[in-house]
Amino acid sequence: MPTLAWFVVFGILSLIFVAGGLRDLIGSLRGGRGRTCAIAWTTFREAMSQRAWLAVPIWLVGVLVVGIFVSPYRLVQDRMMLSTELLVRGQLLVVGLLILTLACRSIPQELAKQTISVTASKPINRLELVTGKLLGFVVLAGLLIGTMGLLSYGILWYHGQQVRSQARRELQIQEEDHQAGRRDIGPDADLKEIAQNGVLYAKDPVYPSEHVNFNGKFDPFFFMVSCLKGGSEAGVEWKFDEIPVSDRVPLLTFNFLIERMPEEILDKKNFDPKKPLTIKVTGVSSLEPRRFRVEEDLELPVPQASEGTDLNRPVRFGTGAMLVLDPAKWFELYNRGSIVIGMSFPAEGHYLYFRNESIQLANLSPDRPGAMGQTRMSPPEHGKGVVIGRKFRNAFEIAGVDVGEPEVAYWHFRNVKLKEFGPGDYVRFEIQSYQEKSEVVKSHTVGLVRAMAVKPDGNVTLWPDLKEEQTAGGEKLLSRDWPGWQQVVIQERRPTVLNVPKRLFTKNSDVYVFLACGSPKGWIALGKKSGYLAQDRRWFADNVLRCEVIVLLQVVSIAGVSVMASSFLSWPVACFLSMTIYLIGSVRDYLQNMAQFWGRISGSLAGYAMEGLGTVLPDFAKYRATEFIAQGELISSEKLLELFVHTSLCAVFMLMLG
Amino acid sequence: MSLIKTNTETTGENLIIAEHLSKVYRSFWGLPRVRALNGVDFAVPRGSVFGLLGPNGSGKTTIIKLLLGLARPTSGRAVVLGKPAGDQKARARIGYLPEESYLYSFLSGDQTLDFYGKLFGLNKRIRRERSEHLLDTMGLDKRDRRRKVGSYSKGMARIIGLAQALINDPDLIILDEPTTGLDPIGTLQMKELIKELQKQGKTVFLSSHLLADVEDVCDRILILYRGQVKIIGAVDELLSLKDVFELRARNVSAEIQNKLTDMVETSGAETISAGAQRARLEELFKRVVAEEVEKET
Repeated sequence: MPTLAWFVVFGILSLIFVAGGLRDLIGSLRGGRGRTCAIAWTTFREAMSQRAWLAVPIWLVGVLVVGIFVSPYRLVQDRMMLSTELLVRGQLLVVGLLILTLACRSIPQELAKQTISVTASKPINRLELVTGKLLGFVVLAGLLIGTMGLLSYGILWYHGQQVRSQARRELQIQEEDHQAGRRDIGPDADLKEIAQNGVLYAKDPVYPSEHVNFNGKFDPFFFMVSCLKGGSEAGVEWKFDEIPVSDRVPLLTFNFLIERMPEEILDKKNFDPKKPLTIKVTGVSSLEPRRFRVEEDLELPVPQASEGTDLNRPVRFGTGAMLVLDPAKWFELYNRGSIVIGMSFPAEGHYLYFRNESIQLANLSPDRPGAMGQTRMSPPEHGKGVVIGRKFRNAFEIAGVDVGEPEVAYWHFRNVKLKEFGPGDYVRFEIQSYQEKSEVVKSHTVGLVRAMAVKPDGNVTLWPDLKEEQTAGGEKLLSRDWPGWQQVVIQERRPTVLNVPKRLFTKNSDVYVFLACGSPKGWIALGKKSGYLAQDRRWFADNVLRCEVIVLLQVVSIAGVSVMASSFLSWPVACFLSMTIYLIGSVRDYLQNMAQFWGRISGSLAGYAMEGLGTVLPDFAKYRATEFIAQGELISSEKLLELFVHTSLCAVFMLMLG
Repeated sequence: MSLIKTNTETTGENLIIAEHLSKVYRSFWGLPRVRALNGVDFAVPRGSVFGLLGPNGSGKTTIIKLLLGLARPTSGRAVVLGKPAGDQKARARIGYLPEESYLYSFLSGDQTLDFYGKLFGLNKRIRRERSEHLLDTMGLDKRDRRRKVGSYSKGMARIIGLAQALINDPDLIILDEPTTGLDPIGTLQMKELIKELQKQGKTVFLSSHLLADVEDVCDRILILYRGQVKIIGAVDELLSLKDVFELRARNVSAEIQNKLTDMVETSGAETISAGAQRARLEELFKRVVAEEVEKET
């Protein structure tokens, strides 16, 4: 977050810019509209005389040619996604580059031809001139993108019809295969969905407050406490702003509770009740995560089993412990920026329970061996412990259950409003999971799902009932019984649909939806937007229109930057500067994080400069229309409004600079 | 220091006043590169035709840029139409014809005038009326008006350039080398137009290095050399030779001519030239073309 000092510096700079252009601004407000429109019209005419309209056929041919060579991974399910990506990204590439070039050339060209000397001798001010130029390019971009949008809609509509008829054919084949015993389960749910409803609609999802959470097991009465399942590749991460030790011995204080599974359900080959329990602790510097990384196995000082312990009953035991870290190893992490302390629990047959505040970093006092020194540090609010699944690119995976209870991913929907979900007895919940292309061949991963509502008075309602076992379409998919869970076939890279009964959604209740992987040796990867409640479907054409508006807004930002650059630079340099700003603006978040990443820069002049640069530059990463439309998701009005405001601010700032 | 005495004093209201105008062009790094003007003072009275003379690089175009607010003076100040040079309200009453016709090649003649009319905030009816009137007066064919300016000859482009300078019915008209690129007929028409504008009460400020043109139309002139004013004043005053007497007469016999020459010599005065008067080439050209046009019609 920008600091107060940064705001002061930015505010002063803005005031200087605004004051510098204030006279022009007032002049423009007093009847400058006609002059601005005249400049805009001339700019538009000039671009058209340079055959800017050729952008449309070039885009169309380009998209069609690329479309021939790039085929979707799955012909039916991915066709629309691929087509949308190609069409929309193609538009941005062609129109964005065209507008950038034209806008960068316009003013320098007028200076070279001296036409600007005649125009500027008329009662027009600089702001009207650059605003007119920008407006001209906006009109041009609007016309081009509008035409491309219409063509895109036509192409997508055609593909939509093709996909639906293809889905029907494939569905028939799958049904025949299933009946003939060549396929172990019924047809894919997503194919059924496409065959029935087509793909020409936009879904309107409600996302949970946090994307997705993980835990070592599901326990309706204990799940607020974090848990790691022994032997799992899941872990927990705490973030510390620094490591609070210098020349002393570092240590972790850790409060925990361990639950041992009953011996009868364990794989006895891997379970030795006498074996000491260990945790694997990792420390990673945010500065250079690959270089400064420490890993250490630490023994938990707890008795595993004693004489007379009944190993067939689940037993919970726990304590707090001071875990001394190896100073020689951890010395690596001193002065290396913020540190992520990770923890995993390789002890099979056990669950490790802990809370966010269970951990502290400290050091041993040199004066009193065994006692903690003065420095003790709990993780800051932003660094509280988060259980994560196995990392899989930008997502996390939950493992298929082998023994004991499964690890779960869950989504938390706060204060769900039932009226948003239309008539019917069920609310549609969708899970979007994905895997590497090569792994998709492992189809039919079975998911276990359950939902829970917590009412304001604390009452908990579960679905399905704890004793009830629900299977997909009456087919038993797993050899093991799973009372209290609904079994579903997980559709990879397509939403898996689950109908949650509306009785759970009582007024002001929080709803949790849990997912576990029921297939032993299987994995389900979940990323951002992996779980959502689906509202009524929306009109496809409306979504295409919203997408085109986003593309246009992005091009307007590009034009704003280019016109600004061209107002004081030669056109090649203006092009270079505009493209640089576009590239930097596209990785703005990364730049902003760098200040935090390079711990010591933050707070310094360089840090302010980095933060300032990141904030002043237009955030081009925000304009990712395909992120929504390619997934068939409705682009929300809030998103459009946010981008409209962002674009307007960017354009005004650039015009004042110009 | 200038050897020629200058006179900046005028009578009546001045539409342009320049006081100690200096302009230094600087490099990208802010270092002085060229001193284009150095302490220029002059005033242009309302209703006059003021000529700015000087060789190439003397600073004529720089003065015009300063008056229009296209450049800022390094020191000194200029007041145009009672407001600081470059003021938006003042510019609304100025018409400017640059040295070359810097026009948008992709617009037609009509569209060009319409565009500049819009910049002056004129409504559609006035824009149409004025552009038609101006182009009719200047003799641009209706079909040509719909053609792209990029396809115009130099003379036609000059007509559009002049029309855009007059579209706002300005009080002050600034013409930078107005006869550049014009044929003799065009030059004559331009000079007649300047005189006509003067008759309408307009003030014309023109720069040129064609001395004959300036002499024909200007009331007052200023001669610049290397950014400094060398001479300024009324043309009649500056060009009058008080010790020379000229008598022009038609149908004088050779005998009378000899007698007049003898009388001058016997009186002790010096004869500078005597003999038949030559017509000006411009007048000859005008007469021949006019006769040809008459024959054709």
